[in-house]
Amino acid sequence: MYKWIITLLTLLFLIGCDSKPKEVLNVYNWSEYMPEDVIEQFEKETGIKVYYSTYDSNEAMYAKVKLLESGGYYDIVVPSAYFIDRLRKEQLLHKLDHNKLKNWKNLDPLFLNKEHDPNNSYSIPYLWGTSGIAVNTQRIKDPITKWQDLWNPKFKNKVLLLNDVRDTFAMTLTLLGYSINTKDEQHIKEAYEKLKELKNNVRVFNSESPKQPFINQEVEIGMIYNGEAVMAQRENNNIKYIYPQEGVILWVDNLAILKNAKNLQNAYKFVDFLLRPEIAKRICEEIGYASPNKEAKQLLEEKIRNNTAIYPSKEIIEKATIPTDIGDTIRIYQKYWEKLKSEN
Amino acid sequence: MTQKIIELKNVSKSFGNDKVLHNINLDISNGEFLTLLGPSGCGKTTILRLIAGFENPSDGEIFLNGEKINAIPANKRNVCTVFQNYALFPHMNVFDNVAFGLRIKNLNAEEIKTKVDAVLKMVKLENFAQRKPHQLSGGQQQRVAIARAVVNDPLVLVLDEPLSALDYKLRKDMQIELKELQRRLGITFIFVTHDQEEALSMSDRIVILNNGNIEQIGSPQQIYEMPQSLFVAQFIGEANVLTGHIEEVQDDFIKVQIAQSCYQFHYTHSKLQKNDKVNVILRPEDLQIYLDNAEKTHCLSGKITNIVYKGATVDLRVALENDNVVTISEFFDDSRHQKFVVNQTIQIGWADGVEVILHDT
Amino acid sequence: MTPSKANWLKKASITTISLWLAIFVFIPTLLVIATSFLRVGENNFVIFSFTLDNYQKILDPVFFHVFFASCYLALITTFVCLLIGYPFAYLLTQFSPNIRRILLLLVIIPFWTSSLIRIYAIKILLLQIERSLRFFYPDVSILYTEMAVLIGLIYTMLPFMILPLFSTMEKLDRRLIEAAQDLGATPRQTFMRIILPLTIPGIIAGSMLVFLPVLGLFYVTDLLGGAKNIVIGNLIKNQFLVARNWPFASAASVFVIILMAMLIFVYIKSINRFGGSRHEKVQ
Ligand SMILES: Nc1ncnc2c1ncn2[C@@H]1O[C@H](COP(=O)(O)OP(=O)(O)OP(=O)(O)O)[C@@H](O)[C@H]1O
Ligand SMILES: [Mg+2]
Repeated sequence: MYKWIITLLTLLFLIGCDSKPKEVLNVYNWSEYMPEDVIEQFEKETGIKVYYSTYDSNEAMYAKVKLLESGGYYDIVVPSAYFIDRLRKEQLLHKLDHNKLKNWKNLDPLFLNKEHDPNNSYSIPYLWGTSGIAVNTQRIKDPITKWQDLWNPKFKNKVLLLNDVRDTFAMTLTLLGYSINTKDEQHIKEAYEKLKELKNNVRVFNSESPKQPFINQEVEIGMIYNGEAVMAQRENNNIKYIYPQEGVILWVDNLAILKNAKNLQNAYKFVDFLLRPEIAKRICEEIGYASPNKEAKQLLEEKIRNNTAIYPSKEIIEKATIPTDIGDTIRIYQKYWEKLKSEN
Repeated sequence: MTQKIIELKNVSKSFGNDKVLHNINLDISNGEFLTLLGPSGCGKTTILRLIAGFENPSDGEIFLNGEKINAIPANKRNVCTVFQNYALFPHMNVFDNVAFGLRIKNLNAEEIKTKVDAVLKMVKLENFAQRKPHQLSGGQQQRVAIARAVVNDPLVLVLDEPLSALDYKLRKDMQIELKELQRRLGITFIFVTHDQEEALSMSDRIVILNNGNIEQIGSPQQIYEMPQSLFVAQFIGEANVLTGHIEEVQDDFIKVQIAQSCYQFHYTHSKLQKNDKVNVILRPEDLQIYLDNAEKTHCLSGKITNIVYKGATVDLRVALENDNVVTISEFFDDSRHQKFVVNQTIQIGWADGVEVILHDT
Repeated sequence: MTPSKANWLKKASITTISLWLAIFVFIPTLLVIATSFLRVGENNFVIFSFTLDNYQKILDPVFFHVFFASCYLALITTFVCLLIGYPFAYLLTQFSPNIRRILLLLVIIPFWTSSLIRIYAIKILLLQIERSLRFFYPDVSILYTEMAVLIGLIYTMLPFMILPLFSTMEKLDRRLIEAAQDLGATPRQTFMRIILPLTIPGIIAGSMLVFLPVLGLFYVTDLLGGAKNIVIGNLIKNQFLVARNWPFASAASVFVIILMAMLIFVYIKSINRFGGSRHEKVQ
C-alpha cells in the first residue's frame, strides 16, 4: 500500500518536472484582471509558459512581493499607482529599457510621466479608471454635481462610500481643497471630521462590488468606480455616473517588472505583447475599464469610446489626481479610519 | 400493623397498547417491609413508579394515608425513592445531596445541619460529608441514597433493587443494616429485588408478580411453604414437581396416582375432585433417602444421576421411574454420602404433610 | 494488522500531527508573539529592537473601543444563542432517537455550505423583508443595521451552541431529574439546582465556541452591517495589510489569544468542577 503511494507520488513529481518548459513567465495580477485567451495567445505565439497567480489587494501583493523579494518568484506584478510609487522607492522594481518595447508609442501621453513614476522608468499603465458619484436619477431628482452633495441631509441612510481608506479620504480631501496625498495630520483630521458628519448619511461601505447596492436600490447615491457604474447602468438605466466639480480621483493600474525577475526577457516580451492595440482593446472590452492605449481606443466601438463614464473628457483627466505613496502616513489615515468606523 | 398506608385499587397501567399491569389490588400497612418479587419485566418498577408518582395509572386508584393521590405530582407526595443506581447528584457533595430535600422545604441552615448530621451518623457516613459521590464506594453511595431519602421523614420509602449493584458480601451486610434501619425508623419500605433469598430474609410480606398480575401475597413462610401456584412454587426456591391425578377423595385424605404408584395425602379442602390433574410440590430439603427397603407411605424409587457437593449441603439428582427428575438436598455428612454413587437405585420418601398439592389448571 | 505495523502507523501519525501543529500552529504563534515586541519599520515590516510600545497602544481608546464593541457584539450573540439554543437542545433530547438523529442532521446541514454564502443568502433575505416592510413603514431599515449583524451572527453561530449543549443534555441522567422531584423539587427548582448546574460544561463550551469566533467574524459586520463598524478581526487584518503595522497587529493578536486562553482555562476548570467523572461509578 505504502509502496503504491510512494510510486504514485514519485511519478507525479516526475511528470511535474518533465512538463516544465524551459521558457516561463510568472505573472502576479489582480483576480479577474486579464482574459484567459490573451494569455493563451501569448503562450502560443512565443512558446513561453505563463504561470498566473492572483491577489485581491495591493497590500496583499505588496506583503508577498516584499517577503519573497530575493526568491524571484514573480516576474510581473500589476500594482496601483501608489504602490508603484512605494515599490519603486524601495527599489523592488526593474528599471525599464523603453527601447525593448516597440509598442510603447501606443500609450496616451496623458497617462505618462505622472508623479508616482516620473518618466515611467518603472511602470507601464495597464488600465485606468476614475472614482466619481453614481446617482439613481429616478429616486433623486435634485441635480448632483459635486462631492459636497453627498452631505445633503436629505440623503440620510441613502449613501454608499467605498470601503477603502485611501479612496474615501481622497474624496474628502479633494472636497476640502487639500492634496489627496497629504501627509499633514491636520488635513487628515479635518477630513475625518468632515466624514464624521457624513456618517449619518452612509448606509453601506462597499468597495468589492459597489454596483450591487445601486442595482438592488439599497442606496441612491454614492461614491463608485466608473467601471462599476457602467455595469450598474446596464442593469438600471436610471443610474448615472457623475464627475464631481471638485475633481475626480484617477487610479491607474500598472504593469511592472520586479527587480529580481528571473525571466526578464520574457517579461519584456509579455509587456510588449499587452501593448499591442488589438490585445489592449480585447482586455479593455473584457475587463470593462479604460485603456491608456490610444491606438486601442481607436479600435473600440464608438458606443464605448464615446461613453463619458468610461472615457471622460481630457479636461477632467487633466484635473484629476492620482493617489501616490504616502509612506507611514497611511497609519495616520488608518487611525482616523478606525476612529470613524468605531464611533457612532 | 393495621393502618393502611398505601392502597392500590384495581390499578392498571399500559404503555401504548402494551398493558404491563393488570388490576393490581394491594394494601400496604404502616411500618411494613413489603417486597415486590418477580421475574424481569413483570412490572415491579412500574408499581414503584406509580406509588412514587413518576407514572400515572391508566386505570384504578392509588391512596396514600387514605388520600387519593392519582393526580398529585411526585414532588408533592410524601414518598421517597432510593433508585437502583442511587441517582446521587454528581455535582454535590454528600452533605448537599442529603440536604437537598430539606433545602427544598426551606428549612433553616441550623436545622438542616442537625438533621443531615444525624442521618449521616445513622448510616455511618459522618466522615464522608464533604466527598463527592464519585469518591465513594458502591456501598457508601447506596447509604447516601438511603440517607438522602430518609432525612425527609417520608411516610413510605420505595427502594428499587437498591442492593443489586453490590457484591455478595456487601449485599449481605447491607440487607441486615437496611432491615435494622427500617425497624428503627418505623417507616414503610416497599422494596424491589430479584433476589429471592433477600426477599425471604428481609420482608414482612412478599408480593409475587408475574406478567403484571399478583400471583400471591403473603409472609415469607407462607410464600415458601404454601405457594398458591406452580409459578410461585417454582419461582421461590427449588421445587420438585410431580404430576398426577386424583384417584379418590375422602373427608380427610385424597389418593393421588403418580406414575405407577398411588399415594395418600392428608387433604381437607374440598376443591379437588376425582380425576383432577394435580401437581405435587416437594422441596428438595423435604425429601429423604431411605437406605433400607422398609415400606413407607410415600416412597419413590429412582436412580442417582448426579451428586453435587455444595459445602454445607449436597444435592442429589435422581431420575424416577416415570422419567421425572427430582432434586434432593441433604446436609452433608461424609460417612453417609460416601455410600452414594451415580446409577445407584435408591428409595425416596418424605414426611407427611410437607407436600403442597396444587390443582393443575 | 500486525502489532509492529500498527505501532509504526501510530508513531507515524503522532509524528505527522506533532509536526503539523509545530509548523502551522506553534511556530506561527511564536512568531506573532515575537513580532509583538518589535518596532515597526518604514521600509521593512519590522525593526529588530525590543519594545513594549505595541502593548501600550492596545490601551489606545480606538483599539479599546473596537475591542469592547466586538466583545459586546460577541456577548449579545452568545447570550441570544444560549437563549435559543438551550431550549432547542433540550427539546431535541425529548424526541425519540431516530427523529433526534434527523433533527440533529438538520442542525448540521448548513455547515455543508460556506458560511460566507449563507451570509449572502441572509443578506438577500433581509433585503426582501425590508422591501416588503417598506410598503407599510417607508423609513424602516433592516439591512446594514446592528440588528442585521446580530441576526447574521446568531444564525451562523447557533449550531455551535446547540451541539455541545445537546451532547451534555443527552448524557444527563433522567433519574437525577426524577430524584430531585422525588425529594420535593418543583420543575423550576429541578431546573435551577440540577439541570442547569449539570449542563454548565455544555453552556460554557457552547458559549466559547460562539464567543471566540464572533470576535473574528469580520465578514458578517462587513456584509450585513455595511462595514459601518469594525470588529477586532477587521482591525487586526487592516493593521497587518493596510497600515503595515505588524508589531501592533501582533500585539493585538496576542491580546486576543490571551483572552481566549483565559476562557479556555475557565472552561477546563469548570469541566473539572461540574463534570467531574460523573459517570464513573454508575454502571
Ligand atoms: N416507559 C415505558 N414505555 C414502554 N414500556 C415500558 C416502559 N417502562 C416499562 N415498560 C414495560 O413494562 C414492563 C414492566 O417493566 P418494569 O420496569 O416495571 O419491569 P421490572 O419488573 O421492574 O423488571 P426488572 O426486574 O427487569 O427491573 C416491561 O415489559 C417493560 O418493557
Ligand atoms: Mg425494574
